[in-house]
Amino acid sequence: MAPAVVDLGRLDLVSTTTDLQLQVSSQAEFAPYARDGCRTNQILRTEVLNHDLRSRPWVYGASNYRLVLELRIEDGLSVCSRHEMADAVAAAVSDGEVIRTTKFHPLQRNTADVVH
Amino acid sequence: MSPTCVETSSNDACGLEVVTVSLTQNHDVAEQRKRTMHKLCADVPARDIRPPLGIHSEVLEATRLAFSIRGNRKRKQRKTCKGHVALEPDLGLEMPLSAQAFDETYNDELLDTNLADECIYVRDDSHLIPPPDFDDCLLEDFADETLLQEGEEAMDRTMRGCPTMGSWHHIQPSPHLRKRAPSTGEGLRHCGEKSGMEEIMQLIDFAMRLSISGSPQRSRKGVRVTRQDPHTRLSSLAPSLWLPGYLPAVSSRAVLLPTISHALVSVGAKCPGLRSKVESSARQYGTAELGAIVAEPEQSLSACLWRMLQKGCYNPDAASRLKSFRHDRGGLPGQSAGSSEPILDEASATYSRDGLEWAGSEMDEDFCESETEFEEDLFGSTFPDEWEDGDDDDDLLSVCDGAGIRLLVGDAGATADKLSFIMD
Repeated sequence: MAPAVVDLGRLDLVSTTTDLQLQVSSQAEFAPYARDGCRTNQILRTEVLNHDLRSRPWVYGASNYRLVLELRIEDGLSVCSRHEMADAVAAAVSDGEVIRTTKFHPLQRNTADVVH
Repeated sequence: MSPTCVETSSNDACGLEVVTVSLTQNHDVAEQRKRTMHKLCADVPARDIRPPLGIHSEVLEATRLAFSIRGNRKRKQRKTCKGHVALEPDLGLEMPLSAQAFDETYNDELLDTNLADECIYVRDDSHLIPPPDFDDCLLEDFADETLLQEGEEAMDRTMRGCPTMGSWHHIQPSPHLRKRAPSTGEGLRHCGEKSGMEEIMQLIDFAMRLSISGSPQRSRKGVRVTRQDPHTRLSSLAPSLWLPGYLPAVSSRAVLLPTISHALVSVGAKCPGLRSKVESSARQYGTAELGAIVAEPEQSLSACLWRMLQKGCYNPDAASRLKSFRHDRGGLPGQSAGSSEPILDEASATYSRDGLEWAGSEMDEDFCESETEFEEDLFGSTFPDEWEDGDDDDDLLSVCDGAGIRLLVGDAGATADKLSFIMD
């Protein structure tokens, strides 16, 4: 079964010192709900985005929980290639405080370039 | 704990780079023992905690952040002050430009390549030069344009020889003015100029933290949010994953819920008055879903306490502790890519540094200083100290008394008071 996807919204940022614009949209993918096949994404969204924590379901990470970062960089925008940028982001995320503060511990980083 | 890895893949056809970070919760036994209130929960991994019967749960498999970075093609039409024109404030020619409008007009003039043979007089109001973090409070476009329009009208009056403005021969460059030849905008970035890795990383970093915490304590210099749809931050969607300290706080208390519930129900069985109070409290705090199992007081009470936990341990400010990619690090991302050495020394929870320094740009230094300045007071314990200084020898009853329940469920309001009243 396909995961249930909940759209979390979109942000637009601009750099005031450079001519860069960034759009970021985020999604959450939940495990298929085997107990109730008729549950729709809208119901899931209503449940998990409930502002009252008391009536919210308990959301926890799967054993193979993943953070997927998709980068689309306009051609010719950066002096670096897209591959270099992806490697830099991968290294920054795995090393960075953002991950460490949340107690996720990437112990090892293996970077492999796979061209589909 | 199984090692996780970061993989990058690319699709050249659509210009897509995908970075997949596999993450797993760390179980630090030493830290957990320090944090726990009772030996019952000392060795229970936080990731193994599950809610009691009656509480619905969802498994989050992945979080996907899609970044699209492009150049800013939207350029405003700026008014330029061409020719040998001096602006004399005493003659009423002072252009009512704000620092922002002044700066942007000036910048765009410098970017205008049509001014190669012309000179530009600009007011030497050095006090109007925006401070380094002025970008954080940029004026809205309409205000900017209004001010520019006012400046244009003042200039038009001058060019028409308006009597109130005096004649041209009275208009001389004042000591307050400086002559500035048009340049190619050194220090400024052209539309077509390529950006460095630092600048793109800065945007990605800020966007990622914004997606997690929603409202960082301080906007990063040089970055402005132009559109924010109703956006659910990750720390709100899944605090057990993205809110620092939340899962350990919940898990260290959740293991006590069955024991507390059992004790309450057992005592309540001997006292009808207490039992009715427990049931009514559980019913009031529960939902319709809990109503189906309210016939089992122990389960409903556990569910009730869980909901109080879920709410009481939630501290949204904890997400503001998230730091940037580069905070307090010496390595340049990408330098150690492909390395198989452990990035994190798990025992000491410190990063192994590769000794490499960042490019050393002023922007980095400024950013690190500002981050330190604004975040140095954000590292206090998320939870009260007494929670972290737990005594393993405490008797369970000390947790189950009125104060213990308040401590257990945190700041959960009236129901905590009601339950503590029951126990008192």
